[in-house]
Amino acid sequence: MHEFLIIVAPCILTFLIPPTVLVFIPLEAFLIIASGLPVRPRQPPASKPLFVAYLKATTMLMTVISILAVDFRLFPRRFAKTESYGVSLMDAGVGATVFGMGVSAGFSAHNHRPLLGSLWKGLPVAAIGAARCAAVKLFNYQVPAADLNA
Amino acid sequence: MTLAVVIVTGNLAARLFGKANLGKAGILLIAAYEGALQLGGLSEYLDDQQVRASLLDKNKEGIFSCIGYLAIYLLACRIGFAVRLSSRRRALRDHLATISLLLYLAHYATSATFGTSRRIANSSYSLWIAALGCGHLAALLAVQLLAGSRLQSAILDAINQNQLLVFMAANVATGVVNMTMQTLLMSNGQAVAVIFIYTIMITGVAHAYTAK
Repeated sequence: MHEFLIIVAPCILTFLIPPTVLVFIPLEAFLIIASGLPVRPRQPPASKPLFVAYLKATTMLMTVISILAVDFRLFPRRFAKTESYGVSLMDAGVGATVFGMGVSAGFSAHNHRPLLGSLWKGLPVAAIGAARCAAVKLFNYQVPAADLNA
Repeated sequence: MTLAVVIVTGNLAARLFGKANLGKAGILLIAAYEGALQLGGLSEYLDDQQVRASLLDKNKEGIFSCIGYLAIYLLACRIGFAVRLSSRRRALRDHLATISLLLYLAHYATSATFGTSRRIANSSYSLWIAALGCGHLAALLAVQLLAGSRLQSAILDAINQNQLLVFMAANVATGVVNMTMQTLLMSNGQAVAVIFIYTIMITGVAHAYTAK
């Protein structure tokens, strides 16, 4: 899947070796335009313009890479989640996810969800949060005190 | 947990105030929260690592950071609303970039005075995330404008359609990797290899699930 090489691989390398991002930005621009990513009709007709939908996807991609990469020595330390003060890449990941949800919500057709509907949708997320709490307690997983955010 | 609270409260706010007003609501919330932090002694309470008696104390950062995250959600909602309403894409891209810059300036200003904290999601953090998000959106829009309608990505589509699955799979895979390998002891080359394989697997899972 040549897409992986164009989109995902540079992302990984950029995280691990930050200066390479300077090389990659023009390279990416060239590749995306010149390679002609396969044109497929979107299976359901697009309800959102591409760039809106890809906000969440790219955020998720960066999050997925980071949560594993942070466990290696190669990952730049300054990108890892901060303890108290300061900014870093992974700090942004949490907020960016929330931002993406907000944009999706703001973009959706109806002015507001019926309250019960949004409660219902919130349930899986809340359940996962609760399950994570329970699992952490059960397995005695190492939790730094500043991480009690569920 | 925070996410669930934020989504429910955010939707409630959208109902009460109307989406167009959420921008002001978000800014007000940020200001109010920072006010409480600085003037109301909330900052000392949250910084105190010693006393964690009640259930509220033990989770105080999580609970109060909801406010900051809610602010982000409200601002993002307003932006999404504006995006939907806009018809001219080039103008939109420029507007988003400008808003992003303004938010960045606000972030630096608050960062210099109050400091930035993800833990409690203070004003500087909320503004920073909003700035990043706007900038991200502007950049994606710029790319789409450059590439035209040919732009389509199977991987990103697959991720979009199975977000929760991808996230869970990634978390599980990270756990598995950590339990089976000594990641801190591996060489650089091995680290890169593992990360690549892991990412390939995750994107593969997303893709396979979509094809079903």
